Amino acid sequence: MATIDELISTLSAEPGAVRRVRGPWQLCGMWLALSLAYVAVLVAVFGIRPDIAARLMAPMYMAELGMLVLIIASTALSVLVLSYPDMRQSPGLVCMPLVPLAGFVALLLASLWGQVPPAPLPPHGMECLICISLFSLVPAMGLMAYLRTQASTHYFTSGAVALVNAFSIGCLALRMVEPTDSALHLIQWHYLPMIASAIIGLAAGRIVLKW
Amino acid sequence: MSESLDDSMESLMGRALRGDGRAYQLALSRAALMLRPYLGRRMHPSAVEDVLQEILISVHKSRHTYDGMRPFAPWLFAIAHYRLTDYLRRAYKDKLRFAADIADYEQILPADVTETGHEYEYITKAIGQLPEKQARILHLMHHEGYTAKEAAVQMNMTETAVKVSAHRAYKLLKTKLGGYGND
Repeated sequence: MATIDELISTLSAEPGAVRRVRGPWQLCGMWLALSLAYVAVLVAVFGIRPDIAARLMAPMYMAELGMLVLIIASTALSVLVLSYPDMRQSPGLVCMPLVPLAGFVALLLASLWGQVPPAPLPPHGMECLICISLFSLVPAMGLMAYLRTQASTHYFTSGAVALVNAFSIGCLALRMVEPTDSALHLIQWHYLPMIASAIIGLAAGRIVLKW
Repeated sequence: MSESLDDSMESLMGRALRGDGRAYQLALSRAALMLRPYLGRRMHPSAVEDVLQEILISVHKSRHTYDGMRPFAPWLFAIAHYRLTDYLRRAYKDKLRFAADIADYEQILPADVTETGHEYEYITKAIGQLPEKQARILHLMHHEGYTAKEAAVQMNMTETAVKVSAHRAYKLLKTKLGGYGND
């Protein structure tokens, strides 16, 4: 008993007020703004795709970009909610990304079947994956660094959702840089690796976010 | 600012986060009181104090994630559950690490205790050598799952006769199996 009492005295003797963490919605808004600014920087550095004017008129392309933004926003909200030990007492928000992800899968399948004749496959493949991974590094490290300062009690899920968020940011940036519209190529080299990013995130979460 | 026992945990933590050390001390003390029975039900009493310390330190480290507005207990018990799970995982991992490997003792074990195939075959063979009526009774009672009464109906015998016959069969089997492994 004396040990617990001593510990409580020691802990409560630490002076000063504690700066409380902001709410998840506010943090999510900030992260989304930062992410879009980062995408803008990447597009400015690597150059926007030459056919962007025509693509902005294509509903499927715009829907794809819109879905990616929704995935980024929902995964950001999910991971920020996960950063609270009690998941901010609204654990339903954690599952929020499932809705835009399901919509995104439907959209990809629709574009795969709807592309008649199919857009030509580009000669490259792996380069896209490497590019997206490199683009994702900064947001992934930023998000993980932030999460480390918090107290997530679901480190596996947090890691997975964080890396899906970062990977989606990379995907969004590359879609605005690379002039490729082959649905097969996009699924194979841009979006399927999102699953791998989630799996890597599970492992990364255990290593980085366990406290 | 004074603290009373009527203060809710939420308001105590709210004041603690604003820098009120006495409120924080009271909140932690009350948290410890809430956690002791929770831990006591889930682990060995000798480890409760250690885990309680770990939880209180975790509460202290992550107190910036509590805003003083939402209910305190779910926040506290989420941390407690996390720490408890972590402790139990470590404890079981240690137990496994120090557990003896059966392979290390293979040389000194008297016999292979898992080799039952020969024994089963031997028993089946011995039953086959019994008089037909006794073998049938044993088959009905031990293979088909009949009671002595049900076997008696099947064999058109009295229940007592079935029991006597089964008893004789056991005695014969015992004699036969006494020499198991010698033939």
